[in-house]
Amino acid sequence: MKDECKKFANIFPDFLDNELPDKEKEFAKIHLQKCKPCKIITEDVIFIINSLKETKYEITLDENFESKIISHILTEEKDNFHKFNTYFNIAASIIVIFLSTWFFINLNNSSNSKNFDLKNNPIAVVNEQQSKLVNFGASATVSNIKKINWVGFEVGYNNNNVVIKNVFPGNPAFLAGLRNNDIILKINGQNIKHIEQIDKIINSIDAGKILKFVVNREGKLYQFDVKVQKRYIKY
Amino acid sequence: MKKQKLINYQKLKDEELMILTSNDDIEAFNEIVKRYKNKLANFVFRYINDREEIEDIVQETFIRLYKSRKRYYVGASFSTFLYTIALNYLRTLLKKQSRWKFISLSKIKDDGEEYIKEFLFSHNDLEEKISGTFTKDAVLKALESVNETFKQALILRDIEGLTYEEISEILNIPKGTVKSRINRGRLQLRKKLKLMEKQLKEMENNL
Repeated sequence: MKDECKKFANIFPDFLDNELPDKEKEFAKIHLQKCKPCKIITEDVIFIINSLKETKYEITLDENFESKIISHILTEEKDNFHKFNTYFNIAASIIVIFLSTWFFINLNNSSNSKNFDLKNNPIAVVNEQQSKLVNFGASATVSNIKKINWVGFEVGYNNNNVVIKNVFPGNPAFLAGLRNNDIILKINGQNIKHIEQIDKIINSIDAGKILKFVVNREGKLYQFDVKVQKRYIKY
Repeated sequence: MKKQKLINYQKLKDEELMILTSNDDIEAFNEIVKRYKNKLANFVFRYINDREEIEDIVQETFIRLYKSRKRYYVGASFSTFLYTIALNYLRTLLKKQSRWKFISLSKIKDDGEEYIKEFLFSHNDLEEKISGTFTKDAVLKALESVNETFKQALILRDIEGLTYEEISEILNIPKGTVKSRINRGRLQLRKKLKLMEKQLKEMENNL
């Protein structure tokens, strides 16, 4: 009998969950008829499970509890943003201070080392010449870079109309919706007849501003807002 | 700019709402709070009796849920996510107030053998069944005195109605251990009820 009870105890959890295979279910049923203690335990445990399951909410929170939490979260996020802002400012100023001190220290160092090297170390003199050369190169490339306004298309003429020949994907013109073969009629209300006009208009406004394009696409008129971008080019 | 209300939040599943929340949809979060506030409050009530404190804890849990919304991934069970946060918070809180009774894990053997021993032991000492003589309130009262380790699993399973898989994730223990803990908890609860019954009878005899 004890062995059977042991076996029953083993399958008891699955028996409660009703997950037993048929064969073992049959065994459990027969055992429960034979063994009184096991039957009592089973009934008690089922009673316990049922009473726990039927536990009703003893506590109900206010109806405006949600809005309380959400307003809390929103104010906290705002605070965090301000905190982030102040932290960001502090970090930025530290970096500026660090860079400027580093710059001045370097300035002093270089003048010091020059005197020292010239006296005692001829190899260092050669090195210094090399570094001077490199510096020259660097400053030369800097002067070759130019800032322009950019929307990202190429234009040409077609039957005396100004037509977009090529829109570069991912660039402002493309993102705004302009496509190849659109005939440009107006930009910011100005009628377009020559390609030079477009260049002038684009370079006359600040980067980040919006240009209103009116185009003719397959006989229909469309308007697109193109955001002008700043771009550096080498020449 | 006012967002148009295109989504009927009430019809969405918990998991879908949580995914929206993780994309910063505060209205989806509102619906989650609406659905779970009472459930969570009653879950916390099993550990703490002070009503005001419960409200604070529930609020903090939801705020933590919102803060960790980006950690929720598609396919995870929402209950697991919520109860893990709630239990972790409760644990730190009760540890601080030293109300959480710590039992070293080596003392509790979680294997099935221990459970079978207990099952066979309860054979001998009790002959009559308890059914019917107790109200549900008494069962809840007895639950308070059940061993903390078993109580956790028991509450999650029988009151909150979670699956074994979810509980095993929340408590970070294997599924088999969850099962044995739940069943040992039930047996212990039965023992406690029996004890209460005995005391009641003695009181009646004395009167």
